[in-house]
Amino acid sequence: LKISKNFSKNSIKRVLLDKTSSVATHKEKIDIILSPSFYWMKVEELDIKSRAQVLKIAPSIFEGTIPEAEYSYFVLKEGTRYTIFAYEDKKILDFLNSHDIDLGRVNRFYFAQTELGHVEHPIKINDSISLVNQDGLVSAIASSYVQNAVNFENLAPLALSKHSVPIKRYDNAFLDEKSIFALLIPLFMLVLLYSVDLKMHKSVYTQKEHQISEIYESNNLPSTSFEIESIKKKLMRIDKEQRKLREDIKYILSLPLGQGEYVNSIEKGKNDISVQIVLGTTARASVIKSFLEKRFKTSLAKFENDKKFYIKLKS
Amino acid sequence: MNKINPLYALAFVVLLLVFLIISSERMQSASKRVNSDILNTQSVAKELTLLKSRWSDKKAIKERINSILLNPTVASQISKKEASAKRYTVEFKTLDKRGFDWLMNKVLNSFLRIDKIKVDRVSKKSVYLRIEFKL
Repeated sequence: LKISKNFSKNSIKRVLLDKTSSVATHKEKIDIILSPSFYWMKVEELDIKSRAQVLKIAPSIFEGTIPEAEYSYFVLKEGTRYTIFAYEDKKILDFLNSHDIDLGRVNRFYFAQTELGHVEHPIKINDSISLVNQDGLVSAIASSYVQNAVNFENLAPLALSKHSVPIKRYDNAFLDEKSIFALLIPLFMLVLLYSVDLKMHKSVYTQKEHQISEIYESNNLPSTSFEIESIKKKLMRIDKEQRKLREDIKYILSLPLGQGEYVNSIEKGKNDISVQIVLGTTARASVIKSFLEKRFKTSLAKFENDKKFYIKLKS
Repeated sequence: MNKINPLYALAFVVLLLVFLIISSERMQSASKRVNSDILNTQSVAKELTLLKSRWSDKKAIKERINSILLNPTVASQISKKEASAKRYTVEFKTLDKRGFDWLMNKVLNSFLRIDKIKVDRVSKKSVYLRIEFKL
């Protein structure tokens, strides 16, 4: 069996597809014309104004006349005359899958009725099936009953109509389309909520970042934490040194001096404090020294004369 | 024909939602971090400003020294006063007991950086005093 092919002006191959076709794998884009084996068709005179309304009642038009299945419907209108098609997306897609036709390469689907309705002579699909036009209705019959059938690929390039068929290219085993949309609505609301939430958090974050910059600017802080730490460390060291110096002086001034004894001089140098004390007796020096050694290290302790005791202290 | 598979749309929205939730959570925790950064920065700034005003604000330190030395208790007894960019030195050849007590009390209780100090008893009622402040 051969595939029936035709070409468009822009080189998209046209493939006439029948359930009896054995289809070669296509690597180029194709338009598929579905033979009547893929659809049911009814022509009705209806006093209805729009296609959309007819589409709504299409299931009831076919009810009881075609096998029960999940059909999609397609309607064409000519005045009050409606041509209504019923087709199974899944069956068409399954057929393509089973014949290795990559769905991504299918440009459009058409019904043979809309595309070949004007061709008067029979069209041979393969040795077993041909299409014939009987009073404008395209139907498939056994090739043995047809004479002088023309191969589809030998037809002059077809100008396809605008009536391409919307085949649902998906098959959701777990969720039908309605359920998906029902899920999408709350999810979309959540997306909106979280978008707003994210935007608010971003704005709060930016404000806070700005607040930190302002703290830096208003307090004249250096830009790096390393610099801040270094300055802080230096000032803390000064603070500690100065507090210690005051405690040292306070301690020296609290010497347990006796009657007639006094501190003659105190000199605070860079790293030490020299104290000269006038004592009553030389024996008192050890008392004074041991008092001072509770807080300081003594680097030098001597009598400068009988009464003047000189001591050099280091913290 | 060219309809988008609703499953793809669903997957896209779910992915978008996951992305937004994660981003929002991240932004929230970043905001919390920034909150603690603000508190830390405020605390560091406060501490640093205080330390600076105490020990490294030359102008303020100089003003503190001057306000002490201008007090009538000691002002008339100053023998020498020298100020450079880095140091402030004051010398009293004879400072009475009252002036010494008052001055030491003021100097030791103020945020002044004493670099050197020398006290010599001159008589029962007076001392020699030299203080070098670092600016």
